[in-house]
Amino acid sequence: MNDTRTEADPERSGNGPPLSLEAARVLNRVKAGLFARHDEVTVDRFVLVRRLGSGGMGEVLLAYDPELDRKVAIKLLHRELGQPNADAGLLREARAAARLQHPNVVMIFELGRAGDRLFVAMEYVEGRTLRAWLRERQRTRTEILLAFEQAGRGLAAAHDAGLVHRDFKPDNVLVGEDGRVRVADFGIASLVDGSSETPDGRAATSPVAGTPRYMAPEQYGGADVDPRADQFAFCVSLWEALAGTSPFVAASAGELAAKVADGELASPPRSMPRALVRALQRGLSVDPGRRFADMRGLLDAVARVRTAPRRRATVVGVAGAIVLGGAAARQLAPAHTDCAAPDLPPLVTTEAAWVDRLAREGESTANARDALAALQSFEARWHDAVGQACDATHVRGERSTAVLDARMACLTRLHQRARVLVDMLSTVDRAGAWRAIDAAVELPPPARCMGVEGAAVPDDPCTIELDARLDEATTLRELGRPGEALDAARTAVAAARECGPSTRLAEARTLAASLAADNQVPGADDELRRAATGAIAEDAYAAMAQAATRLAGLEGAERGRPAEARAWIEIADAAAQRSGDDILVTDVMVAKAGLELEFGAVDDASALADSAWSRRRREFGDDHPRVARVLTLRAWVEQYRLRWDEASALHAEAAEILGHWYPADHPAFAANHAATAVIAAARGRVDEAEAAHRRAIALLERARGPTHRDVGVPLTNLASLLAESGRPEEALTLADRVEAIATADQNSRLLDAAVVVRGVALAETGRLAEAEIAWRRVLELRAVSQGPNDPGTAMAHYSLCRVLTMEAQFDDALEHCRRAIAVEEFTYGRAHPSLFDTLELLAEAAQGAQRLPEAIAALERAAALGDDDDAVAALRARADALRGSAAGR
Amino acid sequence: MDDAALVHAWRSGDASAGERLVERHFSAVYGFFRHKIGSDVEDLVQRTFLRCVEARDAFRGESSFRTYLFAIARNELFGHYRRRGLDVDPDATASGVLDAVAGPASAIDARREHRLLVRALRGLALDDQIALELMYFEELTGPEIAVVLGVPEGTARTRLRRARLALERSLAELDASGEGMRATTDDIERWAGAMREAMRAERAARR
Repeated sequence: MNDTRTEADPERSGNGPPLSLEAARVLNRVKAGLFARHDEVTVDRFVLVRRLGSGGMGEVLLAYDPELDRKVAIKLLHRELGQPNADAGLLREARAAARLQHPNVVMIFELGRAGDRLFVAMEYVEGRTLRAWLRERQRTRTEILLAFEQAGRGLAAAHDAGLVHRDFKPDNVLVGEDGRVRVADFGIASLVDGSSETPDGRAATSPVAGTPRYMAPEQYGGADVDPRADQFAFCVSLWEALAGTSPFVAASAGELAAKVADGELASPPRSMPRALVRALQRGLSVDPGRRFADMRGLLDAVARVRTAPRRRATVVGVAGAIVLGGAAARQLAPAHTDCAAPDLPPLVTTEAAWVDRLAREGESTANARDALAALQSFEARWHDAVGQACDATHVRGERSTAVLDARMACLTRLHQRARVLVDMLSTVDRAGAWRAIDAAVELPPPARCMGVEGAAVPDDPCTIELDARLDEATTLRELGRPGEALDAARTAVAAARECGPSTRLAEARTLAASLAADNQVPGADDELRRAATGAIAEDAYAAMAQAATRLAGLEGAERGRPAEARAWIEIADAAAQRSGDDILVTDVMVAKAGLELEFGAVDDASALADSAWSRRRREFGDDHPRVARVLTLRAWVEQYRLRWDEASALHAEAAEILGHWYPADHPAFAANHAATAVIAAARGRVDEAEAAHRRAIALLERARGPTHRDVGVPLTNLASLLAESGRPEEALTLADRVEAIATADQNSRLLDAAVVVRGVALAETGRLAEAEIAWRRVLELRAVSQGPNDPGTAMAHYSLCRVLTMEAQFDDALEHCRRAIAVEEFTYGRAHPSLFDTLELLAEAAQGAQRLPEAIAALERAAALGDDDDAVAALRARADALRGSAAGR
Repeated sequence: MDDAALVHAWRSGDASAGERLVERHFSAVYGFFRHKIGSDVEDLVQRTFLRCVEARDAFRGESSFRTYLFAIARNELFGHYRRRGLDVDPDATASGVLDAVAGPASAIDARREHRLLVRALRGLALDDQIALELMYFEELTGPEIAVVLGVPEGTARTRLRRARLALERSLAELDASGEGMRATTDDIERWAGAMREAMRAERAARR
């Protein structure tokens, strides 16, 4: 608190301008640069990053919390601490606010004092105030209502907790980049103003700025207020947002106070629906007893207006009059001039039954709450896109009404898909409950409809049925029900055949074939190939890109055939480019990066992942799970380069984003724990690795059930860790469990992995004969399921070579080592570091088999690949010794 | 210790003298860059102080240290624009450049007149802007401003006169656009005085 205190000295803020913390920060950094001095500017433990702004209450600063490794917003209040007794009450209320957790309320982390000023550390919301959001561009009435309904839910939750905001206004509401609306500064108003103080003095000097504009009549009297004062302020704000002017038109503070006291409302704009006017007028009643009993009553009335069928939608906004003038000038062409937003019921209603169901099935209210928030975010973005589409055609006149129709058709379709999801959530099972957030996150971003220029809303029953089945199949897939999804997709294919040739048939076929592959249906790859080639015939480039991407995954990750995988991914790339769908292009890029990483082409993978990352951020904003996934990919790249610190940092960044969307006990974090485990194991921290694996297992067991295949993966990883760190017996127990899961699931890849671990563990316990049997079984499994060039096959040959070498059966061992090398060379190329171990083992087997030249050659090759000087020197020494004994013979 | 002695001590390796010098003049240099660039001024502030002690162009006590410091800061500012591919002619109106790079208004802009004054200043040629700011806010004399701009004294006086006229015009234009207010030379002097006091108060608190 050294420099901060000087800077924050409230004595001086009266006459001079407020002193700048930013300047203090720069001075310290300059001194650090020149004199290697590091005194960071801090408030309590928070390190200040920069100033975000200042308002009536004080300065707002962006800061970093080194303890919890996250960004926070710090509000440094103007008010000095005064009488301890009065402050105690205020602090108690602010602390109550700090306990409030709701998606529509900015969370308060901490209250404290910095010098003699109070500070509040709260959630840092990337976004802008509701006022700025309203000014950004013309908002449609629906957009405005939705935003206010979210804010209203935040207020309602606070009222339930016994809190009154006392200073609700658009400046105290934040709209995040994710579209989620959050009310800020609960309990802070009272910290600044003091509850007994009348604001008349301030009002007289500044009639525009400040709170009086939103104050309920009872607040003027300084009386103790209840939640209905917030309702009043909410109604003033909403009226203002819709009408562009305050409901109380006054030239001075005195006139304003008089009008508020008399309830003298301005006449509402004609565009405002009567029901809405009535609701707002009631909320603005002078007598609190005549207002709605609580916020929920008001919100229900507002929501009814929003969802009521209407003849035409109107673009409204702060500068409504100007806009209407502009639009009227262009309203020459009849019929389409009204920007009719698709008249669809809202996705997220205040108290939806499915929210309770999610909470019950998933045994977590946090999970349900975050799923609701993710859907809210989608809905807000959807309305944003509708507004933009309207603006582009009716306000700016840049786009034809045909383009508008196409965009609306696209948006309607998207909304239908979201509706299918919401409907399914009301009957969701346990596994689905935990996937609800993922399914919401995977909904395509509505903004993509802005790129659409053709297509219309279908009106024939066959196509409507087809679209419904496609949406159903996609949603079931997201909810982790691939079997039912496949059935729905097959129905869609049949419907698509009925409706005649169209790109829809290609779309349906691709989805069905991909789901067949997900379900490991025999012949799925042929089906995918047919879907891909069929799509060419239909000019359905998006479908083609999707089929080709899935094929590349099948050939690459599952079969280990790089050449085929690369060929398909190139096709996918070209098709995606041709489709004109930028998000699809990025999808392919991500898939390609993953493949290249798998094949060991790290630099290619890295370049692809980096550009995919910047594209994703453009497409979804910085704070989105789909961005987090690319970050995870980038982390794996760094892991492959053995740069553990960089990898950890990227994983942490990904986890931070996911933390904004998922509750901490969600399986979305399983991959993160797995990565932590792998990094810890690589650094020799076995305990840490084990703990991380167990965390991943626990998350997945809870969400998917103990026998789900997803649990099998971290179980296998843990078994592998235990087998290699001297606990082979425990590894064998886990391998039994994984084999049981894999057999029940008919999952050959998982079975394979389990048998591999079993082989390693058996070899560790010295049961070489059993280990040999296990490895031979792996080779048998592979001969059936996959081509001979799977990297796992190399593993089996390698292990057999190892076991046989230990058993001194050198000739057989050498043969398996040779095969392992052949497969690895095929997969990775001749100079890949992963050949190192195999070459070293081959040298040992060859030496035992008395094939010294082969052993020497292998040692030399290994030495050329090694990156550890000591190891290389040791290999060269062994080669020299062998040369010596070869010459000596 | 006066500035010259501090510079000498710093150059002889006394870091605490350097720190005192930096603390003493930080606000002036910070404000100088902050008005023109907005954010990310750390590097420029640091370079400016560093250049003060570098042998090549070290302060030799021929002018006041402050004058010398602003001359360096001005060079650094032009260097900054050049590095960013913005080749600025000191005599050209730099508003385009400045609009492109100007960050959030500084704390000093809190009041409306101040905001207007800063905006009007931003519409001037860069050297006009520097000259006026140094005169109004830092109370540098004509000969001192001449040293900072690296021009003969007479030229500096002509420039100041011209700059003041340009500022009045610029304010009048803001007035015409409905955002500004009619301002006389007296008004400008008064606002500048208020801003100067505010900056001084800030500086006093720093010491």
